[in-house]
Amino acid sequence: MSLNSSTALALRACIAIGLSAMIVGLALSLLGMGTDVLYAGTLVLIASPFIGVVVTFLSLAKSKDWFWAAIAAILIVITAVGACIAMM
Amino acid sequence: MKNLSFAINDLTAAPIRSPMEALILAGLLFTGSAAGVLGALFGLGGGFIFVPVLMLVFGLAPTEAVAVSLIGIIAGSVGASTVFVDRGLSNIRLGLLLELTTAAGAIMGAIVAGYLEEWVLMCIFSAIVLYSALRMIMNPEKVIPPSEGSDGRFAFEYRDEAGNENVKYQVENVKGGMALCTVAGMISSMTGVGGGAVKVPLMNIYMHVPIKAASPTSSYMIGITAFSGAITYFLSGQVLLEYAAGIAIGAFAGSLLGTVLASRLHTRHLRKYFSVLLVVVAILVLLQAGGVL
Repeated sequence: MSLNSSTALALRACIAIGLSAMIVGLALSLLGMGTDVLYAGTLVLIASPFIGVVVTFLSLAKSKDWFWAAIAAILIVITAVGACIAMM
Repeated sequence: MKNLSFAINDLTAAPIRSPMEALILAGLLFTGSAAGVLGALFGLGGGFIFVPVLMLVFGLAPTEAVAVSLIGIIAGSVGASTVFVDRGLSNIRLGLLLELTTAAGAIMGAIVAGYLEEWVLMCIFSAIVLYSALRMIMNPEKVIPPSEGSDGRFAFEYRDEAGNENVKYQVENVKGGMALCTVAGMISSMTGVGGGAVKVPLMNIYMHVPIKAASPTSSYMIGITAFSGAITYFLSGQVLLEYAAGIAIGAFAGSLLGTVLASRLHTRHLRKYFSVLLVVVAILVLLQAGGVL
């Protein structure tokens, strides 16, 4: 599977799961329930871009495209560090 | 609806029962859709729409509006990217490279934000965006095809459906572009605006990336940029989940519509409309800087 196809597939899977949970959670909120479902859906949606970069890195590493795989790896580290700093 | 909504640590779920609350939900879906269309068409996050609308129309506090806005930005970005990345319009490699310095700039911006006046940064941002709009209006797009001797790592290609042709392009001024993305990341994190409005003109004017590739690449990058902020707001319990769901569902639907429109628009029109939108963004940011919005 190509770099673009694998990344697009990962993004598609994440947003399908995340948004489905959000829709179900929103519908359940009509009945006074659904907070945990909304919570899970939102978390999956937020994580989607990051998961996309991880899949991109794996795809680049698999095809031994080391220059761009290194760029993706550094970005993963910077993004994770940025998130940690923001949470402090 | 706001007082019935809940943060993640408030486990007493809040029902949407009254007609007024259904109307609010419809408004959130519409707002998300509008921003999603513009985001996918022009590579903008939509924060310049989300934040003022959520504050002025829906009555959210600034922090709540920014938190919900980030969720909407991610939904729009990922929605558009599922199509753009698959078609090869989003340049993943270039996006990763520029995101490196954008993310680093955002971290630096967060550290020094307390030492600088926000309105000054917003004015600087508006000046940059207005300058970019003028450059895009006055100068035609300059695409440099790859040639022998040029760096093969930065030679790319995409399929232009509207023009019915394959377009090959060489990315120029890579180091300068990365440096400017650091500044863009800094300003963006300090003011909460600006990702796509700076990156698309930067790629198009300075790095000679065709706008049909620059906008989808920016769409792809914006979600990654928004991730750090969004996860922080989420884990600290500041995301109003119902609002976020309404905005995200709308943004996703709008972004899919935007990808259809983007494939039908010709480059000349896309640049023209983008320039007009940049002027609107600059004015909105100036109004925010002046405390009007």
